[in-house]
Order: sequence, then C-alpha cells, then structure tokens
Amino acid sequence: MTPLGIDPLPINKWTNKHENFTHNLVPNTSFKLWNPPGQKHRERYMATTKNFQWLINHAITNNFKLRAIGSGWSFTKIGVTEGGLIDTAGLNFSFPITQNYTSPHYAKQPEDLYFLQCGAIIHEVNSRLSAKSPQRSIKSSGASNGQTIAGALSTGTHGAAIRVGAIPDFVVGLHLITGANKHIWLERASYPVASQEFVHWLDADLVQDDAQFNAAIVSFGSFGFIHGVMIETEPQFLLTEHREGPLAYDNTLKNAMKTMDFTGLNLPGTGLNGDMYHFEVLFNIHEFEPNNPAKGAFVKYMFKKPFQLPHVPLQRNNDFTYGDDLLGIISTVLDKLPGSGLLIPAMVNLMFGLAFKPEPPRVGTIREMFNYTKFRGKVASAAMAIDIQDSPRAVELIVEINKQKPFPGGLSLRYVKGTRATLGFTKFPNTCVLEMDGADGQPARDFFQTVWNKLEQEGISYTLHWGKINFNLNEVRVKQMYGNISVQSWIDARNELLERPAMPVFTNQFIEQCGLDKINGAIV
Amino acid sequence: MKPYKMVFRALFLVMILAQNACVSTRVEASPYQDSVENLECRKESSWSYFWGLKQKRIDANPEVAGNDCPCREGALSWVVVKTSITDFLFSAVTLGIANHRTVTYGCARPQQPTEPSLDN
Repeated sequence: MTPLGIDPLPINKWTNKHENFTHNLVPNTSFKLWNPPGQKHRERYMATTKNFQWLINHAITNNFKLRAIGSGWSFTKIGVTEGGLIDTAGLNFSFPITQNYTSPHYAKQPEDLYFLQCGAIIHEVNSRLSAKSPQRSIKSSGASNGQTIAGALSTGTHGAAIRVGAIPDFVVGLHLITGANKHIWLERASYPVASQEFVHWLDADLVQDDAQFNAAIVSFGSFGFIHGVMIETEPQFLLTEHREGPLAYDNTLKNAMKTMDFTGLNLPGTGLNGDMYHFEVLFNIHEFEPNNPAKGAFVKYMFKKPFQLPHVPLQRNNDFTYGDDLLGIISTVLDKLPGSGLLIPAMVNLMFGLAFKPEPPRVGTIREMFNYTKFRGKVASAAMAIDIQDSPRAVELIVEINKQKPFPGGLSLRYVKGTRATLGFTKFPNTCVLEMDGADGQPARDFFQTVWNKLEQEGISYTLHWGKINFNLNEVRVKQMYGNISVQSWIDARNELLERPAMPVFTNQFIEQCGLDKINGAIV
Repeated sequence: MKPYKMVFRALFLVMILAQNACVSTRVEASPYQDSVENLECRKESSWSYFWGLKQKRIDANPEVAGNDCPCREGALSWVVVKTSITDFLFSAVTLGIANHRTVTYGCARPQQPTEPSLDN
C-alpha cells in the first residue's frame, strides 16, 4: 500500500520520446507522484516531500534503484536506472515570491524570483509568467518547450541565447530530497536568494555553498530527487526572428562564427529590433560548397526588444508534415537494405526543406517562439560543445567525413554563453554547440563516432550533451573534457549532499560508466 | 548476390516495413501531458468484432475500476489511433468480423486556474 499521492506504475519497460532505446525496468518499482489534497499548498507540497522520502526509504529497504524522470526526452539512458522510474510530471505547482520569502541579501527584487515544483514544464512556466500583470518571461529556452524544469536543468538543456546561456544558468536555488530523513535548500553562498522564512516553509535544512550548488545544478538526477527549483525571470520581451539563406560559406561568415561579430554579414533587421539574442547557423552538408552562395549556410537569428502592445500572439501552424513512423521506416531501410546508404544525400536534400527554409521575419515571445518539438518518431541527435574559435574548422571536418560516411540528417551550430555548472556541457565561455540531427540507425551512429574520433585526432577540445547521443562517454573522456579538478569537485559534492544509504539508490549505469559514482572513503 | 537471396532480402524488408508502417490519426487539444512520454500502460489494443457490434471502451477514467493508468484530472490531452498493415490485412481476411487498432493517449496536466501564493 502506497501513501496518498503515490500511484504504482505498472510498467516493466519504457521507451524514450525519440525512440532511441527501450529500457527494461524492475517490476513493481516504478511510481507516479501527484500532489495529495490539503487545505493549503504548503501542506500539499510538504506531503509530496514526505512521499519522496517514503520512496527513498522504500528503495533502501528493498534494495532497488530509483530515478526521477521528467518528460523523457533524453536520447540516452542518463535519465533511467536499473530499477524503477518516478514519474514527476504531475507535480507542477508554481509560486511567486514575496519580500518575506526573499533573502535580505538578494541582489534583485522578489518579483524576479519564481518557485517551481519539479514537474512544471517549460510551456506551463511560460504560460503562467505571460499571464502575470505585468507579464514576465524566462530568460532562455531550449528549441522546444515540453521538458520539465527539473529534467531540462539536470541535463543542461540549452538554446542559442548568446548572452544568457542555458536553462541551468537562470536557476538560483534547489530543494533537494537527499535521503529518507534529509532534504535541503541549496543555493550559492555568493548569491543568496531565500529568506529563513522560505527555508522554514519547506521545512528543509539550509545549505549555502557555491561548489555544491554548481555541481548539483547539472547532475542528471543523481543527487537525489529535485523537488523544487527557484528560477530568475525578467520582464516579458519580444523576439524578432529572421531565417535567411543560403549565404556563402566564406571568410565573412567564418569570422562571424568565430567571433560572434555579425557586422560583416549585413544581416537584415540589424539595429531595428534591439540586440542580437539568438544566433544559429544551419548546413545541409550534402549540398555544401565553400564560397558558393547557392550551396552555403542558412542562418536563424533573433533580436530582443521590450514587450509592447498591441502584440498578436504567434500560433503553431498545422502544415502537412511527415508521419510519425517515417523516420523509423527510413532507419530500418538504412540498417537492413544493403546499398541504401546511396539514397542518403537525396533523402536529406528532400527533407531539409521541410526542416528549414527562409521565411519572412516574425515576432513573438519566448513562449510563442520555442514551441513543441516538431521532431517525431525515431530521431537521432548528438550535440558537441566547442569553443566558438573552433567552429569553422569543425564544420569543415564534418563535411569531409560526410563525403565518406553520409549522415542521414543536417548540421546546425547554436551559439550559447558558457555555464558555471561544474559539469555543464556548455562549458566554454563562448560556446558553439554543433548539433547533428537526423534519422536514427547505424549510419548515424557510425557518423557520430567518426566525428568524435576526428575531433580528438585534430586536438579540438569538446564536450557532449548529457541528454543527447553520447555513447563514447567514459571515465577517461569525462575527465579529459572537464578536467580532474572539476570531476572530483562534482563527486565530492554528491558525497557531501546525499545521505550515504541513498547513494546506491541514485547510482545508475550511466554515471558508473562515466566514473561519477565514486564514494569517498569507501574501501574498494 | 544470387537472385533468390535478393528476393528473400526484399521480402524480409517488406515484412519489417509492414510491421513498422501504419496509418495514424492524432487528435490533439494540447501536446503536453501529465506524465513521462510513452507510458506503456497508456498504449492499449482496441478490438471490435462483428463490424463494430461488439467492442470495448478504452478507459482512462479514474472512476472506473481496474484502470492501471488513470487520468487523474479526468481529462485527455491527445489521442492517437493507429492501424498497422497487419491490422488492415486482418480486417480484410476476416471480412470485418474482427478488427484491431492501437490507441495511445496522453492525460491532461493538473490545472492551476489561479496562481497560488506560498501563504494559501
């Protein structure tokens, strides 16, 4: 019998959203959480805290592993475990913060803070902020908006916000359930946000520590259950999006890619609608030729300006598109039919137009601009972060590899401000994320492996998105990518924050493979 | 490659594609749902017999007994009904006496009509 607010989930296996894998689960160890009824929201929130602790105790007592899961969008097994899944998507309270709940040392105003329960999805957060008067907004978003806040921050979900960064970069506090008898409010000592009254509201222990916060903020669910998240918001703003191209892949474009100085590109709209907010370069690598404008790059960029009325909200279109099973069929053909790889360039040329085409400028809020994902079916996506200085060289290497091993997809470069998260993959002060998206299958995976090997041979420093295809990650590579000191700092923080009996509960094969499961002081 | 091997491979591929390929209709009020994606218990086989004279409801209603994966809000976000090539052939062979479809659904998320404060 489970407590009120915990439903047993009768699942023995689970397939991720993008259908890259099906994971076997231990029967009778998965549960779905919902907020039990109560007189006040505090009572309901605290009942859910107790339910998280009941689950940890239940897992320790019965010796199985648990993992909280958000929307299930990750492409890798980072978010699952060799035990049960905890579905948190129904935990979606959100609360404005008033002066009495704000630290007297907080650098901004209470209205800049917004407290969210872990399962609130980005779309929901955007909608609720837009409904305020005056309207508010999150600072940046991934390309789409169906992730839960806890899931999105735990893997370092990013967009292409060149001056803001990724989702973890506007998170300023975490309510972590770190044991059957322990839960904490964690924030940076250098950036306090919560008052003692807020910590009392949670009934949690206060921990103020920069290193521990920076570690926990991107920790893939391995620091316990994230129950609550404090984010910083800002006044609503408008983005003016331009989609242009093709542009010649020449020295002017390469210089912009290396420096984020866009003046030489003479981009339409510059200076009319505020500063550059978002910058992205896209390539059809099957139709690419340097210095040839007809076979060049496409750019997507957005300017940011204050919100103003009247504003007509953008709406999702309902164009005729490919069916849910198309990518699965393509994947099967490429894997099973000898010689079908020859079809890849023609197929990509056909589908690239569906994915991206130049369009007239459009204006919208973050909520309207970054909508539900248009990728459906069996999609492969890998993303590497590199220093922007290396971005043209990396593109040229990828184009060369594509000639030998055709990739059934496209390439986009998204520029993001670097993160402070210890293992945040957007770690370069000015990060370029190379995204390779296409139909899943052996050709795509061979291509990813070859690209990663080539970057290593050429000495180009890179990291891999935690939530996207990253099967070459291991202990050695993680240390090469982030450095021994950062990796040890992350492991130390996990050891200090998690109760010792709870550590095996939150250890999965993925973190073992990456050497992040170490228990300090353990006799091996 | 010998011709019979080519034919065998082609047949094998057609069989695999037949399993994968299907026609689906998606009805959507919102793409967002109250759960992780692809919950196994929210994908149900739907059988109807004798040209629809006998059929069973797919239940997401939390008030119906024996429902493994209820919609706690009593509301759906989206529904997909799929007919595979096998389903189509099965209906054709049985002259519509037995019919199979696969139904998948997402439940509506808990609503927060007015924003709560920490004090209420």
